[in-house]
Amino acid sequence: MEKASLNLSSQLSFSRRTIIAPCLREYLSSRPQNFHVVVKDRFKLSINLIAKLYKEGLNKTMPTLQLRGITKRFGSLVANNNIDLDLKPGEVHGLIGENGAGKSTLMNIAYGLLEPDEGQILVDEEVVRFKSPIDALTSGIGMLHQHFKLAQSFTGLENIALYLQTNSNINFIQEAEKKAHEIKTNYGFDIDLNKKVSVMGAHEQQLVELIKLFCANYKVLILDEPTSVLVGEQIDRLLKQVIEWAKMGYAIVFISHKLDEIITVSDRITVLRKGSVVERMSKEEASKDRLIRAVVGGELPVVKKVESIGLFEKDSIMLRVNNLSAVNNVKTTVINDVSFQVSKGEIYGIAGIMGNGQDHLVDLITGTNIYNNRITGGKIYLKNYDVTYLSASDIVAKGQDMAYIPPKAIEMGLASGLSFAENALLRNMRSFGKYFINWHKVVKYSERMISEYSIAANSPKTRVGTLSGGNKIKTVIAREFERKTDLMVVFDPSAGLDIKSIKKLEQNLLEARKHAAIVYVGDDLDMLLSVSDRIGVMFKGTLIEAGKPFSKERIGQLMTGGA
Amino acid sequence: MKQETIINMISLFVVIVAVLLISAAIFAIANVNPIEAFGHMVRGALGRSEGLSETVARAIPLLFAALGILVAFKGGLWNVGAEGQFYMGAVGATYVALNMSLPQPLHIIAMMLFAFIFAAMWGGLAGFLKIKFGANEILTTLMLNYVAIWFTHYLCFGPWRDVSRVITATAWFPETARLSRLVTGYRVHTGIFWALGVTILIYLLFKYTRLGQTIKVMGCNQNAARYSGINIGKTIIITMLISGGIAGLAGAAEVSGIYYCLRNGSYPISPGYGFYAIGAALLANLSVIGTVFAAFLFGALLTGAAYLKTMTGLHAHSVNFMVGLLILAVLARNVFVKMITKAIYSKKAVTPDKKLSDNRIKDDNKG
Repeated sequence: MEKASLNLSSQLSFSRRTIIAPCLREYLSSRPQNFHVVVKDRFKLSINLIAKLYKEGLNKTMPTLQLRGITKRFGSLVANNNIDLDLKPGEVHGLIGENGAGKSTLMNIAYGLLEPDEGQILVDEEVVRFKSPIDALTSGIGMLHQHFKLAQSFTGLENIALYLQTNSNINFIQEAEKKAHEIKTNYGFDIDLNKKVSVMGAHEQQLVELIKLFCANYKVLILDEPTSVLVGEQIDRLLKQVIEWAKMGYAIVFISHKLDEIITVSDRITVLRKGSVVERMSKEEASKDRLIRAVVGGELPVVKKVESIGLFEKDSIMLRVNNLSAVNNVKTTVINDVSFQVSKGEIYGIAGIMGNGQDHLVDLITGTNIYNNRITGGKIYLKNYDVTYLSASDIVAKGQDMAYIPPKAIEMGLASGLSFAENALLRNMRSFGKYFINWHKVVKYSERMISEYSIAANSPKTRVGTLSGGNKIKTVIAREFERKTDLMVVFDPSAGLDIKSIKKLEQNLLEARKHAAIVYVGDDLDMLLSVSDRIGVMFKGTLIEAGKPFSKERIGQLMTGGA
Repeated sequence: MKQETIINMISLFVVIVAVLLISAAIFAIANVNPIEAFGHMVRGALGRSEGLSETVARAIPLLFAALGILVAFKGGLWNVGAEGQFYMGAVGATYVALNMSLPQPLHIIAMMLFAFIFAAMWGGLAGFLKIKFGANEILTTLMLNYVAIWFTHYLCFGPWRDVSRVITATAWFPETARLSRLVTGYRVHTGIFWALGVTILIYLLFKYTRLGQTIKVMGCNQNAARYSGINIGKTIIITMLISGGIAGLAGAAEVSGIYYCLRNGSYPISPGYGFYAIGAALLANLSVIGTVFAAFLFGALLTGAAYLKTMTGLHAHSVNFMVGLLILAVLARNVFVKMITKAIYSKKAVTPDKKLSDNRIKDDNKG
């Protein structure tokens, strides 16, 4: 028995998939009485598993990658709560859920970027531990990231060669070329790999990434929102290809926010909400309505009716956006003919799945222009001032101030190396002195903010960088609400907030409405429905006004491109 | 807050001990007894009245230049052109000294003013190139150093040369254009009061003014600065103007306090104060008050090194490595801070606390 066990383990490590079952069959049939023996090797195969393997043989395909009871916490937030996921070769597994539902965390765990707090990862039925993506890659798990990881100054081919890192140091470009050519013909990719990545469009860059993955011979492909960078026809082509790849025997995870895409490509669908699996369905069971309900949560939306106090006279219009269009630095349209206006006394909610242009829209309205977009048409008016081409500093210089809670509130809205008081001062230095700062006043003001918004800062001198994420966000919220401007642009900051703080934010919004026009951008439908007087939905850069009465389902449909 | 200060102090201590140990090893390799060598350095810099005077005399230009650099660094701009700004300041001061005749205090004030303006233009030029063409200020300020140095060279050999003198230099400054010596026979001069005065001004700038606050925000997070309605381009220009101008005062103090003339490159007016000052500003961790001590330390190091050279026959350059080491160690200090912080916080295994410490580490790396 000693000998057989030794044999087994050496063969196991040698080649798992091809040898495991026949070998086990032989082993078990020769010694049926030893059923309680646990094979002592580094794979720790339990006897149950051996029995199962023996029973099923190799005829039935085994899951290539299994996640079992994965739990991951960040502080008090449970990002993944006891999640199971099986990936089988030849199958596309659709993964869908709201932002912050835990999709990325789960995939980062599968890809070795994060280690789970609890649970196991199994590759070909063996428990493995991914300490870094290298471990995942050697186990045959490749990932197409949402943000491409390519060297911009290299050609596509050079990027592939860089990734493959073959042993040969001289011919590695040629080797890569050979391999890439093979992949290109086999998979029908149409791309010129000798172009520099910096001049490639997003879909071409994606193809380079895909060729990289196929060259490396992975069994499991994780596609993280692959369609988000594509438009129209490109999407259809990709979806067809994904189905093809599955037929070739790859196990594919397909992540998307778009219901149609998920239903088209997936053989099985898993829906995540707030870190847990809420529903699993097969392709046949899936329907758009069912998916929406599962993703959004709750069968019947309870709309808390909040009547606006209404000050909609003509001169109370605080913000007017007329037919605004803009392109980003690679000339892709990010804002497409958007028009809306907001008056004092109302909250205009902008719904939409993140990444459909909301961040670009508020970036342009406030003149911050972090994304370096270029306006190609249309106008933006604050009251009656044309601020279309003005930067934030110009707008402030013109006295057209507004409160603004930016997307990525922590990174953009705070100088984390400075003190709380200095951050309280950040956007309203003028009100604390023209040339000299009245620190006495600032400290008083900060102390009031700290107590009123229950921010866990010891004193105004506390460095903001030392606060927790939630408290950092609260700092931004407190500062912007305390400025009491008559226009507020609020980009949903609730992702890192606890329920109590979210309620407080909601209350703040409704109170601020008394003196201000508010644009509220978010993707949490509950929040949007409860605070908004009107709602527009952004989808792929366009804004569609959602008529009254609002319903969660209607808006959910608009958010995913449904008519 | 208090813990942070302690960690900073510990890391500073670790850095200095590391520098001393490595230096000792190198002294030993060069066949000089390390203990003796350090003894010479300390005695040379602080132990004798000549040494002390020399240390302070060297600390004056270092302090000016370090303050200038500090202003830029606080704004997140890497001004490594203090050396060039030093020379332009010297040129500005020399122009006033030789071409205007004014009574004693006014003459000095005019010299300082011109030095400030000349050097501010030099720094501002780098700022302008940055916002206009996106030119990296590290490169432009560095390259402008050489332009300034060779421009000074040209002036000394050409239009401003006093042919009656043995060395190629300008004429002697009139009495009214000289900063008086504090003690007769020693080189330490009243420029020290100017330097301390500017220190106070810079301190007030960052403590109480909106401009200082704006510069700090820009240095901390440029996106946040843009978001808060700060005009980045304007602020960059202003920061570089102030930064260059103050560094230029170092040149003015040097020509009117030490040399009483502008000299050519063979008899340089600066042994590289503009570069040593970068180390001083970093050693002070960009604290205005700390810069005074850092400048004094660097002054002492330079003086001690010179004394060590005469006493042991070590080549001057073999002493410069200590300064290099110190700068290197100061830059590496954040690693120590990170290690110490981690060691402290890993003991408290509670999750939220750990997250807090992680954030702190991240922030320390940024800062």
